[in-house]
Amino acid sequence: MSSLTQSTPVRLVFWLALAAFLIVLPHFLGFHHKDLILFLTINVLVVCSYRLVTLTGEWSLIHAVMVGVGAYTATLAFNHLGLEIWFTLPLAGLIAGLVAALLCFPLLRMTQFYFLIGSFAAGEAIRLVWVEWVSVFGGTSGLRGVEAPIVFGIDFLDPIPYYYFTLGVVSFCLLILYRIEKSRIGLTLHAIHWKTPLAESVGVDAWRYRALAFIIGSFFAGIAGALKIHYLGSVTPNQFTVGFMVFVLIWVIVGGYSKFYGPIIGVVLLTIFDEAIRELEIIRPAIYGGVLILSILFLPKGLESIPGKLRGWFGSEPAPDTPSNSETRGS
Amino acid sequence: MAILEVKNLTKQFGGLTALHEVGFQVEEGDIRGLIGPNGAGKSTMFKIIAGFYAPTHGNIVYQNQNIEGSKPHTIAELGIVRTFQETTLFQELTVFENALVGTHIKARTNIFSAILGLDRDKQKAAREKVEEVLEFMGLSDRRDQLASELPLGSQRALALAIALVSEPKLMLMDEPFAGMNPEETNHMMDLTRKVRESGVTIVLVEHDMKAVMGLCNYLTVLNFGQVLAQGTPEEVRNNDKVIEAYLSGAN
Repeated sequence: MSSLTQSTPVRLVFWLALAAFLIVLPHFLGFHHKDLILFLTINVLVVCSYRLVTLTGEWSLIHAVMVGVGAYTATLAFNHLGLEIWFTLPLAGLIAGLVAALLCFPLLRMTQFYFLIGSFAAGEAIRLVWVEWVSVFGGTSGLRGVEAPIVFGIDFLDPIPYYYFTLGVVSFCLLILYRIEKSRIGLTLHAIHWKTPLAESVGVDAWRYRALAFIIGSFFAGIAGALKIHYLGSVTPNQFTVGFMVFVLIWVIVGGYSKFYGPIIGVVLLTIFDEAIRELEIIRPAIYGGVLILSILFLPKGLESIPGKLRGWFGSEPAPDTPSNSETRGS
Repeated sequence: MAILEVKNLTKQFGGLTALHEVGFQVEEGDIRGLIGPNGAGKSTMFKIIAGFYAPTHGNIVYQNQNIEGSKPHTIAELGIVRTFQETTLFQELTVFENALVGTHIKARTNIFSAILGLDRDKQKAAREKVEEVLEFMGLSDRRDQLASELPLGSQRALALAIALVSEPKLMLMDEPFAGMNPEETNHMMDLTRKVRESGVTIVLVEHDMKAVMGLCNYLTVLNFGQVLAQGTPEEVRNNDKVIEAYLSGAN
């Protein structure tokens, strides 16, 4: 606690600087890069909501599809009900959360590897509904017609105002996710991850908490999907394949998932890196893959572990992973 | 008055009968020992009482209520908490956080209170309770250490603390003395007595006979899934059937 109060001014400066940077940033970028930071902002919400699901120690492969559920919901709500973005965003979250709640009953009977495979199968089943039920979901060519909203006379087709809008929504969602993680509920989710039977023995209903994490995570994935589709204007089943899911996994794993900011670092740095090697054309995937392998080999706890390692190498403090008293027995 | 009554309890795993028509009563305020050779069914008995297994048939009556077959978290809510063999802790959490998880029943919250911070008073009370129990267990100095960094004696004390902060009425302790040196054993015996004196009834599964004989006021001996003998430590020690079972087990 004391370290937190000590560094409050430093923290304030950091947050103000970050906010200023994010606000000024798009004005220095070309059109292509404006798009890029817009989608990056949305993907930050995707990885952070995914992290909530993984807090219980269960990794799902359905998160990308939940983004899609939000995207389709927003599209249908816009096309058929004429709802504005203020309503399509929460609705997209609610429907994604509802779909997740229904899926809890079959999926959460499984754990670990079986949950992974089961969630993949459930996700593909939902994607098949979009492909096959052409009259509602438009089949493989998907749906179009979502217009960028015009709010307070500002045309959101222009990437800069829409980027600001997205930044605001994503920041608000991250704040909620952060508060959940730091609350009693976050502690309980961690406890379930580390030792489910011990948590149950003091009264934790593990199933309910796993369901809660899955539903809340999917809720925010749905919002991310709606944000994306209001800018893109069209939705197809191919945007939410397991290929996109693999990217989400890579962002989270390379960034590190033991801290809240780990996945954010992962998605931001890998997106910038991917963009930086764009010129290299054909060998780009090979380089990207090579960096992933290196980072997993040398930073198994993710990019978030770099500050700790640096402190261990250069600082006066001993590295946090070498406790001096772990050998002593007896008390 | 009996706080816990096990009646005609049978558990079969496929063709194997782990427990056969077992019955015993635990009086309020007991430190009850559940002993017997390896494979006698002691741990199975614990798992059934704590809800991790359902019995094949038979009843478990806790405070005049049938609890057999209930889920572990439901049984915990009724005031029965178990500790585990070995060192089952939340290894990557600190000592304080470990014990804080134990306050779940009183401090749990809903998602909206969590986001808006409406549960602040409840969480503060939980943290105070944890401080109090860590002090009681002699763990206050180690509150910010990771559980995985603790020496064995403190790990076992922490396991007790996690159970104790949930304010149980009945505590099931599964081999809390295993692997301890004499000094650690004595310390753990003192802690166990302190827990008992704070008003918790204890059922103990243990192989360390010094600890069992020193702590328990009454023993139930299981052998091959059946009750072999019951009585005070003195009676059990002199029971021919018990002596025979332990000697044949040793061979």
